[in-house]
Amino acid sequence: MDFSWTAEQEALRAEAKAVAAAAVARYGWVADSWINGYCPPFARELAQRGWIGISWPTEFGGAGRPAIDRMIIAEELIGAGAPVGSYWVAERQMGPSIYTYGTAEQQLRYLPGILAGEATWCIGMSEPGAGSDLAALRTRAVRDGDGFVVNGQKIWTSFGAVADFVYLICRTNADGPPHAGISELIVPMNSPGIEVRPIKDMAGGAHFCEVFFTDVRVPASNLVGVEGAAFKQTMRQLEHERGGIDRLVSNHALYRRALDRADLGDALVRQEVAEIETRYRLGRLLVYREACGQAPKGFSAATKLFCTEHERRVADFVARTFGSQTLLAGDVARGMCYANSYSIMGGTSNILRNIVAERILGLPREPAAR
Amino acid sequence: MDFALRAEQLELQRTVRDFLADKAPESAVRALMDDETGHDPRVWRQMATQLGLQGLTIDEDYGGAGCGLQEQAVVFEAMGAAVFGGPYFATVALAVPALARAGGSAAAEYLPRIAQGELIATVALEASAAERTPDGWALTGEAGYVLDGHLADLVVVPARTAVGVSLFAVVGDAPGLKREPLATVDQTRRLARLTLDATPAQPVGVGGAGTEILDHALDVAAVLLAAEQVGGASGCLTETVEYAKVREQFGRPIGSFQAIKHVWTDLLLEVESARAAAQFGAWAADCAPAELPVAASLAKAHCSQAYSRVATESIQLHGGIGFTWEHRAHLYFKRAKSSELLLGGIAHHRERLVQRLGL
Repeated sequence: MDFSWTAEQEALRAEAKAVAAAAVARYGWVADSWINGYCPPFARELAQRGWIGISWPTEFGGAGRPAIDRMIIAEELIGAGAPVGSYWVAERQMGPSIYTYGTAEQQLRYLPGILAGEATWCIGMSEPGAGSDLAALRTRAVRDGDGFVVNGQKIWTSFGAVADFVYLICRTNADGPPHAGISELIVPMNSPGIEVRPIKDMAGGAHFCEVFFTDVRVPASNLVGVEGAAFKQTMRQLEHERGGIDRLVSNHALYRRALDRADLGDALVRQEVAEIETRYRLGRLLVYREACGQAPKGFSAATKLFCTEHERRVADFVARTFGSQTLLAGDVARGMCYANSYSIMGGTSNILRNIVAERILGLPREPAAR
Repeated sequence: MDFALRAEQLELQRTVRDFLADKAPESAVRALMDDETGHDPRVWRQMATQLGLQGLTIDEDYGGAGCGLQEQAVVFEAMGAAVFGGPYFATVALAVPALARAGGSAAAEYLPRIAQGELIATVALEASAAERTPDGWALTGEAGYVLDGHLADLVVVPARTAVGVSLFAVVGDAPGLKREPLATVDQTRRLARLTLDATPAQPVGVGGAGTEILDHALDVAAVLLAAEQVGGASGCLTETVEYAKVREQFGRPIGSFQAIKHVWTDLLLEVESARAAAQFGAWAADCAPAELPVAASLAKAHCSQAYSRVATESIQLHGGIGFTWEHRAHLYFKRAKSSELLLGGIAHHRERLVQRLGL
């Protein structure tokens, strides 16, 4: 065991701290900045530093640095509220999916835009009838000549209104068991037949959307990986989505502000702060263990569960600490509202509990529905 | 960052687990629960002579192995899983760090004998009054809840002197020392009340340094107790989950019900995060001493909570059988509770954590 940082890592963290502070000074800070901090100029700035794709393999244009370096940068940027939203999803999971499963042509075509901080991606995953039960998805892609024709609807699509591409999880074969027949397609958002309707979230924001597909033509060359066998690819992608530091520090900037004004003379407040500081530190260790590749297989579901439950505790503390000010529309109220979303997106806490119980604890599966 | 145990630590873990499986199975633990002293001198000697466990962190100059707290934590985690009792914790987690920190003639005299397995030692945490005598020092006072105080050949006792709190060594058969064993609910963790009446004592460490030495020793002890709690919580969790896989009700294993899955997934997270807390604490003690005070209180509070929750829920999952003397669940439960309250409870350590963070 060694919980120390190398001199390079310390230097990288210091640099990331400075970059974050400068970004906050220039663009303002925002809670959950990986969702709500859409800022292409900042993405381009980070790209110039080589910080987007820093942990991608060099053969795909990355810097080939350990995953932990990416996590150090992310912790400082998101923890300070710097706006990383425009490239976040693409760097976190679309890039890795494409360089792992995509063709050479796809890699050449799509990775440079992500690395340059120019391209925003969204993920077409959930549907009105397929949320936690992802295998029930019904958006169809039917072969037609040298391409597919897509029909269906996606929902809760973050960045749907601003994205250049949607990474679409869809059904290419309706026969057979639900997990089979699922494929992944890259679809440009300007394709004819795509309609995007933003959904107003409970905090009044509009980061997620409904996306409708009506006879959308997609070239066959946009299929990622194996047709009809993408469910495993999707699950792998979810590992990238779940195990990261974004799940732990979304409200960190808000928490620091709350701590400054908390009544630290109150014994109950002190006990609560102790619990928050404890779970923050331990969540961090779980996340860094994921980044080191030393967590048990499939543990990212558990790490996400631990971290997002912590986020809810933080938001609750922040809301009470600010007292009446929380009643006014603003950052605090938004943080309070948004904490409800972390434990839904990327797998709800209750679904993750099922997954962890079955995969990690080895408890028996629920008997199949009749 | 590296979260894995090193090869020699894994080897130590294997050795200790094998030893405990052989010498301290549940039947032996239960036999000692009924024993007046709660101590098996034969196993104690084997631990010292075959495995060198008492001297693991003691300096090589004093006949120990000179290992760090990370290795010591590996041992305590294995012992926690076995609900291993006796005076090992008092001797190795409390007295050794106090004597080692104090240094000087007391360390030179007692640490080699502890490493040899010749000496059971403990620390009293309530201060007596010290008086100069023509031959040296004499202590008068009372200390309740002294871990294994009924057995100890050596008790480290804090006492008020003109220069502040100083530490003293009192031998087990010293004149004027009265030792009353107390009946404990956790019979694997014994306590005694000590009364000192002008009892001769030998200074330990520099006069007036008692508080500083004890604070450090208690941080070390908190980290090691946390490691023991992780072992207990982890063992209890594994056994309970195995039971949930085979116990059937309503025509299916109870572990297939979400009501069970969700509780035990949350508990798994408590245990995994507790392990991280204990390991970080042990690493801090070895490699980043400035971080030890925060890490120790954090680990003690969090691991206490994790073990108590797991042990409590384990009884609930087992139903009626979990409330019987025959079933193992109460061994975990009582150990969890005695560990939670020993060396300061959860609220105490949370308060210390906040203080130590400078808030």
